[in-house]
Amino acid sequence: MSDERLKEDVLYAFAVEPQHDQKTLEHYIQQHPEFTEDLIELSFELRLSATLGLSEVAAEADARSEHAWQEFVACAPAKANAERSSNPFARFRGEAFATLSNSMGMPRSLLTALRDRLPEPSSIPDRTIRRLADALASSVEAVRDYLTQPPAIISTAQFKADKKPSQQGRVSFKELVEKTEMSDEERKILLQDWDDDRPSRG
Amino acid sequence: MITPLKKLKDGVPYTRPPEIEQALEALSKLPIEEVVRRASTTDSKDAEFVPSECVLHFVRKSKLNGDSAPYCDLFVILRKRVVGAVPVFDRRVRGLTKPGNSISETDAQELVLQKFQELLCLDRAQYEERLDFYEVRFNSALAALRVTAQRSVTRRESYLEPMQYDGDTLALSGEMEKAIAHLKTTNYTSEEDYLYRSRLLAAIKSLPPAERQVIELLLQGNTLVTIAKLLGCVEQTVRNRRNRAHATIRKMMQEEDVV
Repeated sequence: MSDERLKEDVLYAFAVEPQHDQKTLEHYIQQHPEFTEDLIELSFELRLSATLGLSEVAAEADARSEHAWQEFVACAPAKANAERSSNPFARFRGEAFATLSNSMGMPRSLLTALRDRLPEPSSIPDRTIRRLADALASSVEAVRDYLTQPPAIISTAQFKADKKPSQQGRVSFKELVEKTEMSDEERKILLQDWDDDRPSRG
Repeated sequence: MITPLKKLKDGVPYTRPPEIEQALEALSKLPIEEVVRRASTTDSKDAEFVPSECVLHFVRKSKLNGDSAPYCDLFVILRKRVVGAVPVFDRRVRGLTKPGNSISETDAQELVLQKFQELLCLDRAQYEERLDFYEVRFNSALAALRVTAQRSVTRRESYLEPMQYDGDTLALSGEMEKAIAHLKTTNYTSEEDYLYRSRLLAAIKSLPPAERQVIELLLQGNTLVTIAKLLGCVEQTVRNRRNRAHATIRKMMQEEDVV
């Protein structure tokens, strides 16, 4: 980490502390004496914010907002395209997959079915896709593209079958949710994805 | 469930304060147009006020939602919040700052906006962990950004430490200490009290950094000896800086009284 980047990190860490009292400031100065002056300046800035309630001051309209938005939208489109063609589940193996299952509130078997693209894409609610994109830190488009590709051939099947494995027929996602073993509570949460469903490009 | 933050502190990810998590849970159930409507409220005491931490959370999700129009609105709201968080005193408390100061302050405001935009862009390309700080405490994180921005602006200004200060230092210090002690608490009792504090803070802000730092350390409750140790200088230097600061602050406050 560069010195400038380290300084930024130290300042941010101090800034988001719940308290900015003498003890906290002293602790940070002891840990990073090289940033003493910056830390004291920050302590004063935080005092300014707290006393003046600066955030509550309504700012005037910013003339360059529109331009800034265009610039923001244009940021790294190449990356987004690259992401679209790859597997958003690739980074989620082993423990990470279990964490993903927890954060989605979805049994692993069901998540595996999604990863292997077993459910019929049109039967998956938009809300499930949005939640999945969120949990995978990917985009709705990337996840949707991934789910509409042909189902995966289960790699271990070739050692178990008598004949050459082929793509399996797709099932409805709702049917899968209904048939997968899980607690009533979990099922209720998942079924809400149908209740709350609304277009993702709102 | 709201996506957890990734920035680590001692190996554990940062977490948002419970009230922010709750607000996000509630907002994520609403249509995005409704989130925009509520986020347009500027009065933080309004029941529907959307904390900036939450506005940022949604802006970070813009890419996932096809950058639709409501996300553009939230982006604009977020920028306004950033601008609002950079103090430009002569706009809010008239006539307070010396004419030269407003230039630095406007520069700093510009720099803060630029740097914040950079972070947003980086976050779009690849998750930018520094933005996680802003989802924990938005205004405090912005204060950190302000310091980086202001320090790079003030570094361009030269500061020559006067060799000594001569004046009625003892009586002056007693008087000013009492006045400045006012700033130790953040709750203000009346509009007048608020204005008084704003003027004091503006005066302190306009001091040369070395003097301002001494005043801040005094406000934190440190003794001159501790301050000397923290700043790595002798006690007399601290004393000189404090006395000069007191004289400047008093002068500024008196000028204001005349106006």
